[in-house]
Amino acid sequence: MKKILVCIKAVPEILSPLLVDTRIPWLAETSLKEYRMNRFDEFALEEALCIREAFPQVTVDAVSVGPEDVQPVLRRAMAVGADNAVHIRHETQGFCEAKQIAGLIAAYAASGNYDLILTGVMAEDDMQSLVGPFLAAMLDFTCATSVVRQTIIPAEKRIQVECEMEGGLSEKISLAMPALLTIQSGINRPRYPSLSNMLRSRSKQLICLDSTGMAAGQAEIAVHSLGPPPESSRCVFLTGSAAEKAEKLLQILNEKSLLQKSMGIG
Amino acid sequence: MELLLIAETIEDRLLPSHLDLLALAGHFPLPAGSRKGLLLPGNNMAETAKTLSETHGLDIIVLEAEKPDLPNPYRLLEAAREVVKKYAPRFICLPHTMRACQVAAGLAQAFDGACITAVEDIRMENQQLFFRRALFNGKLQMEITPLKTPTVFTILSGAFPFQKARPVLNQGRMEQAIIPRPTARFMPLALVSTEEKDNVVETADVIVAAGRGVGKIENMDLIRELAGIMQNSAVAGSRPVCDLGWLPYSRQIGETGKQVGPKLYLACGISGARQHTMAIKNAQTIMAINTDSQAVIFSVADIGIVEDLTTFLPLLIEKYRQSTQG
Repeated sequence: MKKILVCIKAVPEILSPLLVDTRIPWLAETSLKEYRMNRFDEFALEEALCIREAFPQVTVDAVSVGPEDVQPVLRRAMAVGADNAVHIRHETQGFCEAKQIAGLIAAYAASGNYDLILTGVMAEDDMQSLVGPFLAAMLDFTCATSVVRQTIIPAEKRIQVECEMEGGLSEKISLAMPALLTIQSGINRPRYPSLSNMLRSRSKQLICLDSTGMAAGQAEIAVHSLGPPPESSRCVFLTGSAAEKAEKLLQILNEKSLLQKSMGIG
Repeated sequence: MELLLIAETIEDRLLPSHLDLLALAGHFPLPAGSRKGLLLPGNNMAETAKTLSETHGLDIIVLEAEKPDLPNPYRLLEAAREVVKKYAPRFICLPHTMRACQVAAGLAQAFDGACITAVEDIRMENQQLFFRRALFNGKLQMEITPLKTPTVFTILSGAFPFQKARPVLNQGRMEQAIIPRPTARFMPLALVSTEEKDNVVETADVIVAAGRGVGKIENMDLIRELAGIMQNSAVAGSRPVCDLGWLPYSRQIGETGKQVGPKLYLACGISGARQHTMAIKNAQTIMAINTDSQAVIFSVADIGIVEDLTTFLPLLIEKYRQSTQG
């Protein structure tokens, strides 16, 4: 048990109103604030750091695919505690196919001798839940998804995990390493970087690779359209000042007999 | 074979998501007479298989497994690969769960196909298929055309209207296959129940639910106070709120939490991700309070209020107190 790779996605923080540039098609510049770490990947990174605390010889690397914008997110990963950060530079606009992203990470990770690869259960923006499983298939790693607990058994080179299912059930599985786990939120409490680590991470070097020449594979899908869903006319919005809205809401609750005490009766 | 459905089972129990697959099979635009198959993993499935083949005209492939026969995606993938090799379906459909996504990606990789997850709708125009799915928690939606065969996709629960089973003229064929024994690389061990014994949300008439928009743990008191002014009420939350430890998981409403049907569901600072809203579709009335007028929760709400919780809730509670102290 020596090396862990954490795959991190930089997701856009979006601004209202959410507008689409139909030429790409993707979010219009005006709706994009900045990039931050995908919340699910924060749990994956934290889990890797917890493993390193238990096995101090372990190195934790973070990797992210994307344009220049992902670099602050990788720096944050180092500030939180990653030993190294790898930026696979990939200049794309718009929606990225999971298989291509996984292909780029696989091209890097194949020679990395990783025992364990962790990533979030999904990305908050495109919600595909595919990069992890694709990467495992490409590297022929064992794979478990939606992991809510893990225990490493170093002597056997195995990892035991609990995978969350619906209805309050989990499946307990024992995997041989190298393994890839997609981490479910809530498995831990991700730490915040200290100020000194934040400053230190700024001077650390990122490992930069270029995706040109890395086999990303052919496109398997084409995006036909992107836009807001049609508005639903069902919702009635209460109007007026905040006080007026509060009064209207209480009136509705009163009519439905849902309040503790009826209004006006005392 | 044109379309292969892969059903999910837990310990030989067919999960309700198979109804979504059957609905999809009825809706999916295929030429008349196309062969459609259903892969059914589990033991003692003969009776179920016979019924489904009679009522839906599906070819059923039962995957018998040696114990332990857990609903394991890694093993299902190994077995499904053999079935796909044999029947070469152009489309493969699974329910949208994380473990099914693992199977979907594995099949798309093995057969160099396209993979589309969390599909909400499918339409055909000029002989071309368009798969619709949501992004950014439903604030945007996209339509995708697959460029490769097979196209492997997962569908959201409730995406396609259920169809009544009716006897069909051409009953499907039936076949059995065996899931290979688990190898040492990958051993399913057990199913564990993580459910806590707390059924307050199931029995409440009013559920006041907190989302990430609550902002900080101190503001949970406002949510509790609001619940306090209503009859037979309970406080619940979305997954992120439970992940933060602000509420126990027994109070989590959503796909991986509880599904509820109260008289009133009052969503406070909840964005309205599909995983959340699918669990409240049986609520009689849904009200939502959110600062973002574009929040997706308003598309399922009956009554919407665009306000900041931290100022609006104290005002609401104060007005209630005034009106009841007459």
